[in-house]
Amino acid sequence: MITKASLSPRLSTDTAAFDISDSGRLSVRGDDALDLLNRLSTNDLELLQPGGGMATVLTTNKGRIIDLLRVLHLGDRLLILTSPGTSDRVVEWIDFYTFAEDITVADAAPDTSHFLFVGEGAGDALSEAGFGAWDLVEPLSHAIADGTHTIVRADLGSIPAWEVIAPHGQDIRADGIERHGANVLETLRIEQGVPAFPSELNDSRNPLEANLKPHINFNKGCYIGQEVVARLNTYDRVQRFLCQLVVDDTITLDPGSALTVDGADAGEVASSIPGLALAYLRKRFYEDGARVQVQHADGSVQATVSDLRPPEDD
Amino acid sequence: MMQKTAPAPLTINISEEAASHVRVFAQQSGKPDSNLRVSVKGGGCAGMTYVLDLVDTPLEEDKVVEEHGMKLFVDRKSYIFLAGTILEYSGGLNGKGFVFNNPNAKTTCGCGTSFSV
Repeated sequence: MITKASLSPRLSTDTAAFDISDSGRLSVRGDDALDLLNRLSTNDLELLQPGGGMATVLTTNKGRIIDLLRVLHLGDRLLILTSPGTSDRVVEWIDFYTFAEDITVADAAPDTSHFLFVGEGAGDALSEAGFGAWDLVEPLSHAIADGTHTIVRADLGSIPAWEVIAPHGQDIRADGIERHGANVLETLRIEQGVPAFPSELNDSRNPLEANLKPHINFNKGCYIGQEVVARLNTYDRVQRFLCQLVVDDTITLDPGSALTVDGADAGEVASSIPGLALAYLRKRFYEDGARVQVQHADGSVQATVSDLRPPEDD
Repeated sequence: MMQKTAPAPLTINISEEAASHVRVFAQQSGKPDSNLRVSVKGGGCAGMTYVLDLVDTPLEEDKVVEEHGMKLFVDRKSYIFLAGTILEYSGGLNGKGFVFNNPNAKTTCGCGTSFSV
């Protein structure tokens, strides 16, 4: 008998489901939609084909993060998936930079519900429920089931995962997969080293330090913030990177806590669960297995660094 | 008694040399009677990029400015970011071609084709 691996050392289940309807969903139409979004964000959206999806970072002219967008090409329109709480700002940003373009952006969130199913077994369960999840292999590839449900391949770090966007009010469940709350999703996210808005992704950070380099196309030409992002990369000027910090399981580090190495400022904690945190660590101290001191309660604790940086291209 | 004079309304100007070069381009493009559309679009490193097009007629609600025998058409939203701009021409071996001297631009990108406000 084959047993599937547990999702997490902190959880005893191999699958889990979440209601993530608080994330943003924007329906975008118009002949110039892809071109405009391509001019405003880091990835080469001109390469996007119907049925495909692409993650891209909306950046300010200083190369700071507004949000990490996931753009799905549905054929007759685009569906932009935003972080919870950012869709208004994303709409305002697109509207500000729309001049003569043919583009309309509508908030699809009130009309839809959004669910996440994680774990290899979740794909089986969704397929048995008629959602064809196993056909979706490429990141953010998607399919329409029953004409009304959008199924998206959306792995959570290294965990296979699928999202289902359904008509508003429908509660999508799959046999044998228990629904969990936001705290369980936060545990998986931090264990997998996935940055989120606003703790890791915000307008104080650039995409390179947030380990979003795989979502930057350095050959696509100009977009807002391109000059800054390209210069940081070319001249190796990124000052800090996101890492994991491992501490004793009895300790939960406070977001914002300072990191030091031999008394020198080394960075700060961004988000945490018991025994583990995501933190921005200065480049000169960044090494897998390195030890840092973290401000905690009235004193400090020692933490071990785990490298989260994406592998460099050859 | 001092008389207050109202400031001149912000407009868009084109230098004589720039107008002359637009006419040359228009003739080379086979559209000698065309006019110049000056606009802005989102994108470019700094946020907004200048756009020049040769066109025949203005769109509804365009601002129309005439100077040195050249008509400039500017759409309303672009005008917000271009008011006060002087379009000039920098020629010669080291010249940059058409140059936008835009008082609204807080920063420009390295190549000068985009700006932020």
